[in-house]
Amino acid sequence: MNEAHHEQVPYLTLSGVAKSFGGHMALHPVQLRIARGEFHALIGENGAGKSTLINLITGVYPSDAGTISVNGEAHSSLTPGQANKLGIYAVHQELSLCSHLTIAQNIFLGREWTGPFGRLRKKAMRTRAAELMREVELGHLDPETPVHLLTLAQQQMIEFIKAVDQNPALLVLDEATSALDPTQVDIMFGILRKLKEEGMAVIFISHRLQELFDLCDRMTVLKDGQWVATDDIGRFNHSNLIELMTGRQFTDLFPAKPDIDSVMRRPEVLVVDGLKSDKVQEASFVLHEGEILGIGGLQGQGQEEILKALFGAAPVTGGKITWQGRTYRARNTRQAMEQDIAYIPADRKTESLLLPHSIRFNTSLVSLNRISNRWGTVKSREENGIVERSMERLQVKAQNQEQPVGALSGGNQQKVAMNKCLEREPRLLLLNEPTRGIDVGTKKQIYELLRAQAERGVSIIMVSSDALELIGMCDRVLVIYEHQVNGELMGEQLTERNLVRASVIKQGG
Amino acid sequence: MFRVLRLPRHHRELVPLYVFFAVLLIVNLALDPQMFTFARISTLSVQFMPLILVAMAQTAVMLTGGIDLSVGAVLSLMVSISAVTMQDSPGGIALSIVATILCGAATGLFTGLGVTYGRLPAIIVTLATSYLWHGVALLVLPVPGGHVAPTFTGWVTSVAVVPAGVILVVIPLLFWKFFKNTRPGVSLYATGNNAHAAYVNGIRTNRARITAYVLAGVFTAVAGVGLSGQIGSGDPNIGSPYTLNSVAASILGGISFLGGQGQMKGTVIGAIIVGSLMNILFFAGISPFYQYVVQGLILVVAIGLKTIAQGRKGGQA
Repeated sequence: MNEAHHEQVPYLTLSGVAKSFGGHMALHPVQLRIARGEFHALIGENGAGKSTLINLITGVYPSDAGTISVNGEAHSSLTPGQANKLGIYAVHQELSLCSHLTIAQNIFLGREWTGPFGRLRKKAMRTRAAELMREVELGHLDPETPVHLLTLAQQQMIEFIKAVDQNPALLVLDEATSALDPTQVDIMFGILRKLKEEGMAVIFISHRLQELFDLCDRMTVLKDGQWVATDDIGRFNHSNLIELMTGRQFTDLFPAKPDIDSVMRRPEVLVVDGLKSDKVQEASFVLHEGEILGIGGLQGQGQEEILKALFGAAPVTGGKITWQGRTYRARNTRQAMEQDIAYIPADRKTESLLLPHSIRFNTSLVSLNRISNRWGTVKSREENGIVERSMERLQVKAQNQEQPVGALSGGNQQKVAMNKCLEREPRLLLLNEPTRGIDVGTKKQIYELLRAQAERGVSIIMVSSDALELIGMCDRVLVIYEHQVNGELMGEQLTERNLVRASVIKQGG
Repeated sequence: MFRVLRLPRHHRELVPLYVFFAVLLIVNLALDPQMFTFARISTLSVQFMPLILVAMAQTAVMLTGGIDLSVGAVLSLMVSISAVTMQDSPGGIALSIVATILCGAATGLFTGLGVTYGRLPAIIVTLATSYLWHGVALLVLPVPGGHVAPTFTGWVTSVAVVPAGVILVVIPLLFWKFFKNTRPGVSLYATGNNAHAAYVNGIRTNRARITAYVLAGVFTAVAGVGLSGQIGSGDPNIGSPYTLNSVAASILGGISFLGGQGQMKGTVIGAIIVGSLMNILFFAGISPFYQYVVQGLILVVAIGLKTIAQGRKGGQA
């Protein structure tokens, strides 16, 4: 094989790879070529298919169709082990370190150096680990430190040098810089550029647009699980990128919104001033009576934590909250509920419903006080009333009240989860991803129900990773970027473009 | 400031345990001035040996995040097998020991396969096998009896510079020290700490779990051989109290219920602590019934202190 020919064969070629989950096309057939030494940026909104694409490349999911060619050799799909053998390694957003093993043990996990009788060459591995750590300026740490004592950024760096030490031909970095400060990002990029000269290719996903432009040669844009564009990075700029990422089909699911000016004139029921918690740097906002406020942004920027802090499910470390004219701080969820606040979590299966139990049991669980007599036993006639009324309200499709919730469809489960919260007649409703994994018909019912609640004066805050849902449902949307409020959109300003822009570009900086 | 802070981390973690152990030794010595004579050390080492070994077995399993409720029953079975098979000749003794150890490994393999490929929770599988092995022990030796080779019994109970009890503990301990520093050893810790991460890094987590149960079976078998030598016969019911005592010793020794954390030397000290409580209460002239009360209180306090210490560090799983 001559050198020139070698150059022409791309390292990785995807032709027509696709993936669906339970009938939903997460990724439509995609073509992609990545040359040796090419740094390729991957960009798109939440749910655009970025993660699905890299999970196909790294073998986490098998591909439904098409071929993955590595070094000219075609595979219909890969397993993680095969991907590693072919030189494909990944640093995932969720770290895969063993927290109580040492730094050195983690760096060599699964590929330990051994000597006679299978004895580990601990000293040699420690020395190599220390060498690698010096390269990323972690030389001050002892390789024998258990990784749970490190900061998140340090752990991310360890994960990075562990991948790099395996001499990858293609390194997939999925938000691998999310916890790093600018100096650390520079160090990482320096190492990557050195390895580029040796022919290593990179696929890079980052919510920080500037990092993509700083590092990469080419870029691919995905939207709604479909390929949109691939080109040299110089052809892209902030504005045409936003153009390419947005413009999704708008559906007619949403009830009419009230006039935004009249909403803003209503009394302020919730005032949040400088809220701080574990994953919220500083959030200040107000909420009006009967307003639906959306919280958006790319996933994992701290949206969910704002809801949890308000509901007393996560400790608040600073700031002041005023709820219905009084200073409010919930030390636990029960206190929040007593103040007429309800929270409907994203994962109804683990955080909200008791799946093996009946609809009846699940629905009445949070209202037991109201339907018990003074001896503490449940008055079954009143329980019946509550459960029947609530099943009617959202048209829960079930055989009867006694059917286990686990046997219902996802949409009907979510209806039960919402019903049980509404039964307490909350004044503030906190929703996290209210329509995730739900069919369109049920979505429409839920949207109508939420608007009806708002019209009755219930104030609503909803976190959603679906931009269209935020735009269609909310009176006003806060966009979170890196744990801070990065933009507030309402009225004419509330467009998909503005939302995406505020999700990926730091405002005023 | 404190020299003690310069200790390697694996000792530093155990400092509270060392201190507690030292206090206990001093109390013991005050009550029993003969404690450091050869005769007493020989007796005590043989007396502590079974619990130390069974606790080591429990620890191997707990490090993978599991628990083995069958160690007591397996111990009974091993004692019974040893008592039934041991002939009084050098070849007979060796053959019996090898056979018992192989049986121990087989019990571990059985449990390990149930937990991994059977996808059953360890607590259920080992609860079931605890009845199973106890039943088999009764079939092997329906009533206490059998005959352990007098040569072997003599060796186990003799007074020596290096007592038999110490030898029986040190050999498995050295083996563990070696094992821990091999790939299977690291795999065992990694699997217990974070099975998903271990798997993603190419570790065969099922194999690591099975290895732990097999090791537990072997350690328990060694305990069974030693115990049969100590009592000179077999007893199909002798193992029962060892199950919970082995869990207690492991926890005292700093082994986490969540898996992946803790060291074997901690367990050994934990087992000696549990064993010496009986001794101290005996010499202090307190009713042995108080042993259970004291043991329970110490466990609660030990775990409580550990939880508080972890909470302060911002305890992370």
